[in-house]
Amino acid sequence: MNTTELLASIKRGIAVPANQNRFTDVDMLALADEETQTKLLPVLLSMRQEYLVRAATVPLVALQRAYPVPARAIGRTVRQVTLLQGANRFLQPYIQPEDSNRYLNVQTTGTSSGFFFEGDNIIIVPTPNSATASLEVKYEIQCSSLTDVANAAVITAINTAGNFITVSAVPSTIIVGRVCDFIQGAFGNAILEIDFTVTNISGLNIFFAALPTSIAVGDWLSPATTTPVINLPREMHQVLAQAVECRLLEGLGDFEGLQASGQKLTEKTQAMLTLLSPRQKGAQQKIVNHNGFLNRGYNRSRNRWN
Amino acid sequence: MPLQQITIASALGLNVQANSFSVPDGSFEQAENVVFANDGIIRKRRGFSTLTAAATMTNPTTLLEYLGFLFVCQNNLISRVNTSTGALTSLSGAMTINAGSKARSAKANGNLYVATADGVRKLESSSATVLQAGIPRGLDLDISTNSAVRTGVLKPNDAVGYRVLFGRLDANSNKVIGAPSEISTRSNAWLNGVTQASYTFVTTTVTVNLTGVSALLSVSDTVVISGATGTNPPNGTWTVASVVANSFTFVVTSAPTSTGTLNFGVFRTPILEFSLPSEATTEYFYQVYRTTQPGSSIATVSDDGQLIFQANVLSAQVTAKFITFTDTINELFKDASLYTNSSQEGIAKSNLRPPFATDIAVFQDCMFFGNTASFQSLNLAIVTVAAATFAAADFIEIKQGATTRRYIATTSAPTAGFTGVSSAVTWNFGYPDASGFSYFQLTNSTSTTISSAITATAKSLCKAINRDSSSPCNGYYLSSGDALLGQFLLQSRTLAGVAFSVRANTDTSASAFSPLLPASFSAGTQVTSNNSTEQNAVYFSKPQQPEAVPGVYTIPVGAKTSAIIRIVALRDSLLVIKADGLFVIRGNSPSTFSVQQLDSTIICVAADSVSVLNNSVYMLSNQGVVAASDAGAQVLSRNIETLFTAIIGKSNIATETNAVSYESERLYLLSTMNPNSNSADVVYCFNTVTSAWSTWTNTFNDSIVLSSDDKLYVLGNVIAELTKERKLQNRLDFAEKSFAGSSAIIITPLSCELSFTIPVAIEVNDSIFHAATGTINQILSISSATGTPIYTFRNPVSWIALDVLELFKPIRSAIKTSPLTLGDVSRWKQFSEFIISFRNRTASALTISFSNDSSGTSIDTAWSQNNSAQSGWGFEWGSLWGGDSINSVLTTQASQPARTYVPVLICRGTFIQGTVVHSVAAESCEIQSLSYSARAYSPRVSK
Repeated sequence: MNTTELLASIKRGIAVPANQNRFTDVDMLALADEETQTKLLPVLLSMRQEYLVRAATVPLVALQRAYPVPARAIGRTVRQVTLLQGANRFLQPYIQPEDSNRYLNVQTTGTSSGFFFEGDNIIIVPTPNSATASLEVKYEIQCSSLTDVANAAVITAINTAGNFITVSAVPSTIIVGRVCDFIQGAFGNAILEIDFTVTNISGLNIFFAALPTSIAVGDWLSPATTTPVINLPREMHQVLAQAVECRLLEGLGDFEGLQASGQKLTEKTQAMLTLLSPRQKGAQQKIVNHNGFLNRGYNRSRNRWN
Repeated sequence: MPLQQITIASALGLNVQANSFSVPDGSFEQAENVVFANDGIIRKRRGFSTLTAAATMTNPTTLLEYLGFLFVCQNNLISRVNTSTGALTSLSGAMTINAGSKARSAKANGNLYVATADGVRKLESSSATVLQAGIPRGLDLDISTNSAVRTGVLKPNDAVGYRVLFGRLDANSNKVIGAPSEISTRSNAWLNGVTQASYTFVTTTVTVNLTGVSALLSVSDTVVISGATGTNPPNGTWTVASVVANSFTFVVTSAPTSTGTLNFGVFRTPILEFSLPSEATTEYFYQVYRTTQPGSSIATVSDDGQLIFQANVLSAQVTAKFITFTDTINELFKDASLYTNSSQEGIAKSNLRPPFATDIAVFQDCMFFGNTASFQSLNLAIVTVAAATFAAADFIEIKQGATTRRYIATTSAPTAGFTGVSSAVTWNFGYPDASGFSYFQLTNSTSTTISSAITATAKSLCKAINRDSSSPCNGYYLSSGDALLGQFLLQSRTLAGVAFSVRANTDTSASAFSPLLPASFSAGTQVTSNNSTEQNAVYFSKPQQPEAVPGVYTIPVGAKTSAIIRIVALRDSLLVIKADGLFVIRGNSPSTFSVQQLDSTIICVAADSVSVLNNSVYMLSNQGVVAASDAGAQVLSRNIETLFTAIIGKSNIATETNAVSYESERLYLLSTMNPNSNSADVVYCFNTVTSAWSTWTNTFNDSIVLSSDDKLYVLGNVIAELTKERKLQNRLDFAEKSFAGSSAIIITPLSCELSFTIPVAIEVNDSIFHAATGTINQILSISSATGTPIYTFRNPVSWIALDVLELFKPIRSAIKTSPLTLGDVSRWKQFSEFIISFRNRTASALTISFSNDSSGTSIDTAWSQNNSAQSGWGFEWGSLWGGDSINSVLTTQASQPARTYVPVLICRGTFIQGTVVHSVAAESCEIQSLSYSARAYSPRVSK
């Protein structure tokens, strides 16, 4: 559902007058963002179905111990930290900061054994003394702020050789130097790639230093941290619209309407939960004992026992 | 607390005077360009189209209606207006209508009478010359006899009197009769004088002896013998048998038996000569009235004239400027008595011309004239004609403004050196010479008696003045009976009120006049005319004779120092609006008319605010707008009184205020000033049925509702153009000006270029009318990206390139409600939703804003009808393709309500006011209700 459709749904739901200045479209999208953050995301994350997880890879720097938590991580949390060294992946366990001293004298070349948080940073221990590895940080990304579809562009062609995309129309919000995100056009509307800087615009062609490989025709290009589509599962869109309707009725002082709308929101939320969880419907979940005897190979457990 | 619904389902009009928290719901603080005509409905007013451009008229002042035609007073003319094209056709006959003044009018006897600055004018048809109302009174009248004619109607030793008058049968078959001339008499004394002649006889032949009798009689003359002494005296009527130098004979049937003395005389034929008024034409007729003969040449003639002759004025007589009539009418043919005879109405009820008046009105078949002034008059007398004082070549001059006329005394016809229009043979007093000087006959006292000489000279001077077509005045010889001889009256020919002065050529000749004339217009004591200005007088005409106004038909009204502002006729009374209050004249005939004071506290502040509506007189007074009738007066403007109290003391309130009544729409429209303005910039509109006030923006100098088409015509005050109310009873009524043009390139089904060469910009919300399909389409946006403007319309265009189109400009209508408080002004409320419900689907777009106790205004919310929502059954065909139908809708129709939320910055407060503006050309807007959804906060929140 794009924002036009979301707004239409909201207005239809409580019969918002076609001409009014009490709630602008921007107001309503802002309310939708608020409802997303305060109502829908907690629900979604509580299901622990990895909906919003994405990875960010950070090269390690010699003698640098602190690496920032990804800027868009929900709640400044990370899902998983992995050390990438050549073809090897070393899952980094979370250690208590109080235990960090135990690793101070252990310095192997470019590797770490675990991490803990310090403010908004991930602190890896021991501090690598060379830059031979990378840190993969998986985190749950925030949903971008909803914006008018007119502020985003639909990709109509991709020229990987030329590092440009062709769009149906170049919005005024996208100019040279603007940092943009690529948003999935198909259902799911995931944030595909983030923080790509526009290097040039020629007609309907928008150029970048490099293009991501994950984008496809039909995806959206939108200014960074904004999206013309809701970055949530389709089944949550109507819940979001309902939640916004409640906010509007509350703002209008229509408490009678609010009561009815709130009841409907509860119903829709319950229905949504049954649709979204569990995410896999047929296969049984396998429980892995990471600390079991059979799972104590060199690569998998070295950090635990160091 | 749940939401409450506040609905205003009955619009009550402007109400700005009272505490704004206590006015009833439905009150408005702004109601611009709307009317509250239908009960409870707010409706857009109709627009006006330009009929006659300002450049076409010069100083237009007044609109008049006559015979269904519209007339405009402009350029000191009355011009007929073609109400389709606006073309003017000026009627001949100039007048003076002062700029800024109104020419009041009244209809009577099929004519239209117009009070102008130089008297009452008269229209007899829609195209005839405008005339001065009334007929001039008879002028000079000379009666002579021919001594060689010894037959006729004037008996010997007798006298006869004559009056002449002029009349005219107007185009509406009204016989308009003027006042008669002064009575002129002619006596026929015995030929023997006061001493009887002696007679002798031989049988039946009587010889009368009188020295020089052969010059008086001829053989076969009829001679009347009377008072003969002797036995068997020869009294009677006989035929002269012979005449010798000092005697004549006649044969009687019975011979006298003694000699004696006798009186003898002959019959005479009176010859009348009287001047024609300068304005007389061949449409005039004249009547000659002859008195009875008293039986003695020295007896007083009774003023009992009877009609003996009537004839139309001939063109030769118009050229000659006088008429000669020889009276040979037998006594048997005397006809109707003269209406001024003492046995009839009396001379005091002469049909004088209407006086100057600032207002006129018809009541009980009489024409009433208010705030009057008479003709300029000057009484003079010639006191001597002694040659040493007053000699040939002396002259007098009459000067009025820049016009000076000279009248030169001559003792004989000016055969030598006279180079006037007429030859010496036909010289008369009417023709000026090459220098423009006229002549009058000076009869010096050496040639006759002093009295005769003075009389003859004075009459001759009057005659010369009367026959001078350029003279500013007429002369009337006054002396008769025992009155001092030589008196005459100079009276202006028009009622323009401009005085004239008289001088003689020298101090010596000046002394022949009383009062003493100056010898110069620039030195000495000037002798100048004056008129009688009666600002508190009402004169009235005879019933069904609107142009006959006897001097005695007058009623003084109220204080002499307080002028009459207007006189207005109602059904049973005539309301006299004066500076010292309201008066009413009641009665049904001149003898019963009487005046009473109606109200001394209501003082009209603007004469042009007075208008009759629903048998009441509406006016702007010191108490606001009032409606007065013969039963009393009622204040109507209490709800907007503050708007009037702020302006009624302004010095220019009278000149900046005008009003018109619109009976069929039940409206009183008052064009005047806003409280903070010094010129007319608002029209207050009062509906007499709903008693609701609104305002319009099209201020005017004058306005009229033409009965033939029931449309309002307006003479603008900002631009002095004549506009006409749009009243086709369709959507095109609701637009202001329109302009002709055509379509150009069609860009898309919804947009095109236009070709209009007009003095105003084409703007969004203008509408285009396509006559070929009868559809109208609203301009929604204008794009000039490519240089040539491209206009996007509300509906797909129905025209093709080069089609004839008409552009209509919108009327901006706006309403603002009085504060709505939910009944408790102290408590805070949340106003959430505002809904406007329409009577029909005619309004396509509105602009809505709000204000409350914390903010004067909110951002505008543009509301528009959603076309796509109206595509189902129940909506007019044609409303979606090619534009909307122009047909008006008069009943309830499916229509989207205009619904919006109250903006966030304005939604909380103790009260709220909504403002709704409609400004789309060629569409009506009829609002049936306004409603809010609101919720009162807890009292704690408010405190």
